[in-house]
Amino acid sequence: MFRPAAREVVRIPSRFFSCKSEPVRAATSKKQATKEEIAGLIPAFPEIYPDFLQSPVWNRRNALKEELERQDMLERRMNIDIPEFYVGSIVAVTSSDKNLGSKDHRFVGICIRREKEGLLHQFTLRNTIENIGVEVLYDLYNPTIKKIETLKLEKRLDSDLGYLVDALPEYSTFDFHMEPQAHPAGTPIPVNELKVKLKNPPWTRRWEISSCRGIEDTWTQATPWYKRKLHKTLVNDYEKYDLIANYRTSSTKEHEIYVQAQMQKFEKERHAAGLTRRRILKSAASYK
Amino acid sequence: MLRSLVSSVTTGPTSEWAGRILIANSGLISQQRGRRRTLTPVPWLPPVKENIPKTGVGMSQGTKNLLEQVIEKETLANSTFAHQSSQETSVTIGDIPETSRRVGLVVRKIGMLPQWTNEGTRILCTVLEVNENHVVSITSPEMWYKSSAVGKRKAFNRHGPMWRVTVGAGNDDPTKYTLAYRRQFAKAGIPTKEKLGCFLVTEDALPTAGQALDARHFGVGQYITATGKTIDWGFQGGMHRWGMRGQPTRRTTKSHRRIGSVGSVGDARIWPGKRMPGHMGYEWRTVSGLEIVRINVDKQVIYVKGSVPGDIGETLLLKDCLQEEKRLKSGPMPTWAPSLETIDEEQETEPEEGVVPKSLLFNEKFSPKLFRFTSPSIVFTDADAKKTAGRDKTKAKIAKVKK
Amino acid sequence: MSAHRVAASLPRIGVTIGHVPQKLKTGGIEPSRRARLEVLRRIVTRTVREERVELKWNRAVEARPYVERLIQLGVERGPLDEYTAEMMEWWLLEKDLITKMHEVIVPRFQNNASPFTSLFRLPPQRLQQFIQNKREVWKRYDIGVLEIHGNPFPPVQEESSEQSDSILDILLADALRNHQMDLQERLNSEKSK
Repeated sequence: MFRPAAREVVRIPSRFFSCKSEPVRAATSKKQATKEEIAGLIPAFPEIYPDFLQSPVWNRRNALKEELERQDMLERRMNIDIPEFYVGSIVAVTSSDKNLGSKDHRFVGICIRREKEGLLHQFTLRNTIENIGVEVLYDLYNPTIKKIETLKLEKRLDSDLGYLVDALPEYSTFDFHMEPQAHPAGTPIPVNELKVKLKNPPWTRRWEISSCRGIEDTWTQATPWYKRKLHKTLVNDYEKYDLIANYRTSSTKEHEIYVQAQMQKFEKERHAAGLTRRRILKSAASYK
Repeated sequence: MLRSLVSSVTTGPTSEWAGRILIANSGLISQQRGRRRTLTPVPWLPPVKENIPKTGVGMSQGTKNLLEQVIEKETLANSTFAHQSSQETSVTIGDIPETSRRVGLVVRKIGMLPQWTNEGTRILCTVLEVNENHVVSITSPEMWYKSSAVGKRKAFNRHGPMWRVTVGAGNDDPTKYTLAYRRQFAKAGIPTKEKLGCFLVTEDALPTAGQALDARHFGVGQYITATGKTIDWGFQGGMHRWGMRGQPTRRTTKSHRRIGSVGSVGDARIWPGKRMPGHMGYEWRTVSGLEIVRINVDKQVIYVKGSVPGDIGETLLLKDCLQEEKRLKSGPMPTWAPSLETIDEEQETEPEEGVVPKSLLFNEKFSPKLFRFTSPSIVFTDADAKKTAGRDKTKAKIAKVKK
Repeated sequence: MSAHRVAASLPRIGVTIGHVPQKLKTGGIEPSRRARLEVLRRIVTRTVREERVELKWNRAVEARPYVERLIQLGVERGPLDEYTAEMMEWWLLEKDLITKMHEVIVPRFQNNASPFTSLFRLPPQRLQQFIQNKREVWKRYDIGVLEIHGNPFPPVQEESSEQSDSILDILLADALRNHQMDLQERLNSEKSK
């Protein structure tokens, strides 16, 4: 270190000190109650309700704005049943379109992405129609959506299935008249450990250096040009050890508990007013 | 930072000129302070923030607690008196003459979120919070002309004599500020404010000093003008700052984002105004013609269609839009006051069955075209389909002959 | 915000973190994001070993949340958790410290909420760097003290004593009391109107 010698701790005038938080020396404050103690809370809340999380950009986190938009989101959820679905689930969306003859449009596909928070939340469905890959981006809170159904509730190995664009078309082909498969209540959500085969290069992205677990052996398929460039690419497998980088963008337990309490309160009020019996806060993996 | 904001906001609504001071006595109009943005506080105004260390002043803990209590009580007392004085003032909802200019609000941008119309169109809205707005002071045009260089330009402008109305937003801890700054609030009998903004107001629309301003000063469907500082990007290169193209990616060394040539050989100098890298953003900008689509009265929040200058958390000035077709024709004059509330209540109808009771909802005002999240999904009928008066494609395209 | 998270969310840590990770440079390593973690890893190891360390101020600020988060992982998840074990393994370079963490430091905070650490600022120090042609080169350092709570050392900051006996304080308190009564009277008179 830069210090020449160890020095005994001398008494220094207190004006030189600045401490962001008051030091806590003994057991003064109680730890927050564990999740078993708080009834009715869902452990997998961030996965089921990614739209209720806070923005990963700290500048955009504002309690008042979140409260106002949460109110709108809950009102919408009282009018339409938004089921639980994950990236990798097969979902059918019926939306109304004024320029269609039937005024209704139903699209079935695999959910490949769920992004953004609050009223901005979006999800993308992918299917192959007449050998052409089609991706439809829906706003979750768009009032023209009439119905959302989960035909098959499952997860895949990745949180973004963008690689299906470069995969063989059979991996993103789903029958429009598919029968919904019921998920037995109280059982954990199954993870489909399917590894997709990619088409031959060129690809839209360099999948051979991505960390996607759901792709089968990209290295043999990659072209020699990119194989030669591997040493130049940034392989950042050490990033997972950066505890605070993770903390900057993820949600906190306090927020999850607070939002769930708000949702429960909202449900209770609406049930007491005799408007609906619909429940918003629910999880397929829990018995309740 | 705050001081620079306050001092520049106080120069008035046409704030593109903020930071430019004219020397009135000499005939010269010379620019004294920064051209685009001023990051240092003006030297001639008294400081706003007090730098007293919180510790080691020699106060005991009991006295500190007592001081906190007194401050709390004082803020409460000031708020109640300001509220009562604003209830006593006379306000009407009526026609607004074209010549009159009303006061505006000092708001904070808290985020952006989408809303949908009854047609199913998505509108991206900016959410603006009206945080405890009070009128701090009112200066007559004569006084303003005499006392300040800005007043020389603005007090008697082409729209006639203008009063300067200072509005404060956001209550704050008074111990953070200097006595000179706090005195103006004590004079108006209101709590110490965090942010200040100034508006040019005509005599027929003058509010009273100390009056509370409400989000309902603006109505739903009204068009407004928003003025504020743009996002501060810091030092940026020519590509980001001016949208220059840069240079090729391949067969180029260390010049991919450089601006290239900056002038000719003849006169060996750079022309003034040459676009170059430098500080980008944090400039006063005004956007006009923004429509208010929704107002939350309980939380004092305004939803504006479109985007306003500045980052989230920045302070903005909201005024009536002056474009002829978007001008406010009738509204509360000089401003909204609690005495107008009773008129609104009577107009409301009895709640129907199956509709969410009002007690569970915020008190909100919606634009009639806006979709309400309490209503069911939008269902279209044949009447909604787009009527295309298309040409009969079986026949040839013939120009119409004018008779 | 991925749908497949490594582990369940943790509570907030009671420490302010900057929104941009700061660059930390050190001799022998080329500055990069990897190097930054390497610098932090050494500091965290040293902090757990010594429980109170003197650091350059910017490094202390940057390292504090990492120490905080690591202790929190131990408190919330315990030694048997896979993720916690992996993080402890990586962050604590000397392996006996993993045992110390789980058996000495974490039990201290079983019933405590964050923060588990304190950061104090020492007066800046000028230290001689080198002498070049009889010219002495000095450099100024901002120094911070990072400590884990419950350490065996004497406190860094002495407890502030009550100074209520000063005449100024008594007069001020009296004036404040009078002002408070005046305000109350004004409020009451307004209410009765």
